[in-house]
Amino acid sequence: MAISPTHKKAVTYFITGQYYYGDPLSKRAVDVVFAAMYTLTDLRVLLRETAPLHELDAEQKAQAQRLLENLERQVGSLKQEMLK
Amino acid sequence: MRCGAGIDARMVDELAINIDPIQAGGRLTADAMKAVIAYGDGYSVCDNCRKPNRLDYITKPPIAQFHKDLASWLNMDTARVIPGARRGFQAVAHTYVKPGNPVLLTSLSHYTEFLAIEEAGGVACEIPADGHLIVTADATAAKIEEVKKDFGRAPALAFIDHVDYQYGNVHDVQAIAKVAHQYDIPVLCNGAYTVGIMPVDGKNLGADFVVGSGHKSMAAPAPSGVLAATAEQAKDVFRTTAITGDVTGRKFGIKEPEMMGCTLMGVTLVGMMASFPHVKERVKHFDRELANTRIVVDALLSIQGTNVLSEYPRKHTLTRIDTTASFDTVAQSHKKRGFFFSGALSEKGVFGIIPGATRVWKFNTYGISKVQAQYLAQVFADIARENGLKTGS
Repeated sequence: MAISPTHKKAVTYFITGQYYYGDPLSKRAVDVVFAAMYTLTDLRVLLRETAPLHELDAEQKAQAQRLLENLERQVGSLKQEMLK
Repeated sequence: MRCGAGIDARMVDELAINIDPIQAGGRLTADAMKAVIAYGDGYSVCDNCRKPNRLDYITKPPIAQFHKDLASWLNMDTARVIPGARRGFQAVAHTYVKPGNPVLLTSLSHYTEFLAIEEAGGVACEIPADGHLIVTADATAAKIEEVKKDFGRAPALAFIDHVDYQYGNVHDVQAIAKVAHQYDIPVLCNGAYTVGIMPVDGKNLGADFVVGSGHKSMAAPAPSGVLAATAEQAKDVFRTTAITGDVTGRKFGIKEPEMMGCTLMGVTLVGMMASFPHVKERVKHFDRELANTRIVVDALLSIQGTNVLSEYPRKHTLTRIDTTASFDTVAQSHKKRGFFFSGALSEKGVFGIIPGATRVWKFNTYGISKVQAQYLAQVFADIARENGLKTGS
């Protein structure tokens, strides 16, 4: 499978004039993996901030809701990208 | 849950309030955790290393700018990232201390300051803390005179802890440095418990060097830290290599021998960088941290027989407490002996007190929220009441 122009652009962003080959996935899939891990990280921090009882106030619940919805979207995108 | 063969995932800070005295200020920010995810591979910051091939010249990620920002933030002229404060002590001692040289430190100094002096062949000369466990300028002057009499010369260097690790007491570095400079003694301010915790202005303190710990106080992975210097001293401690291979004739550009070339080449540095904006902001709000400490200390002091061994009122979040006449009296007859206390804390979701300790112990409330501080205060009071100790409330 050929490397997409987007993927090529992404790699050159990091390594000017040099290319990595062999990754058949799209840049989008890589982006979403990181985005999902970062969403999980934000959830992790929320757990830290509310330890040990994890009784979330209204603002924290709203934040958790937002993060979980993002995560669902991100997992959905990953399914699209990686299982197509 | 495991993250590798025989390695349990560490969930201490997710499941409990962690008041471990050395861990509180090093808890990662969300951005540092994200940086750790992206830069966990070995030499991950070296993707764009170009000539002159030195860490503090890399512009992507913006490591060069980070070095400048670090120095500016500490009001010093030059800064390098280092693998822990102890490597800063080592670099400075190795530069200034010759075998047999007397070196000042204090009766509350960290052991790694002693080791740095030992490795350089120096002689450790401790300034005694006073009856309030504070190191003063007067005691410094007296010690320097004593050293001059004994050695026939002034100390080659002075290590002064801004806040000591034993009591969390704040020492007057500015006044001490003024005295030391009267004898031309360069001063290293050990900010392992202050850089990243509270505002530190190196030049205002009169420090020739400021050392900070990334993993202790700058929300960074271990081992990390900072060594900052004035322009005058930077020329010495950050001198560049002059060595040449006798067979190959190789030279090594602008590598710095005291830094052993590049220092933090991956996740430690990027973690430190990612936390830096948050760290710069959080030091401005140290009063909030002290308010939380007060909530917890007041609760402990309400338990009959409990004393604070650190200076009081508290000026730092690290506190040494004496519960010999309170929780230790319970331990004498409890079936779990001294472990009843750490066990009870653990059951209530509090981590960080040495298991078995019921006499003298330390804790650090840095980074916890007000809600968590109130919970912690309640936990100490509850454990006291549940075990028949009298409390003030």
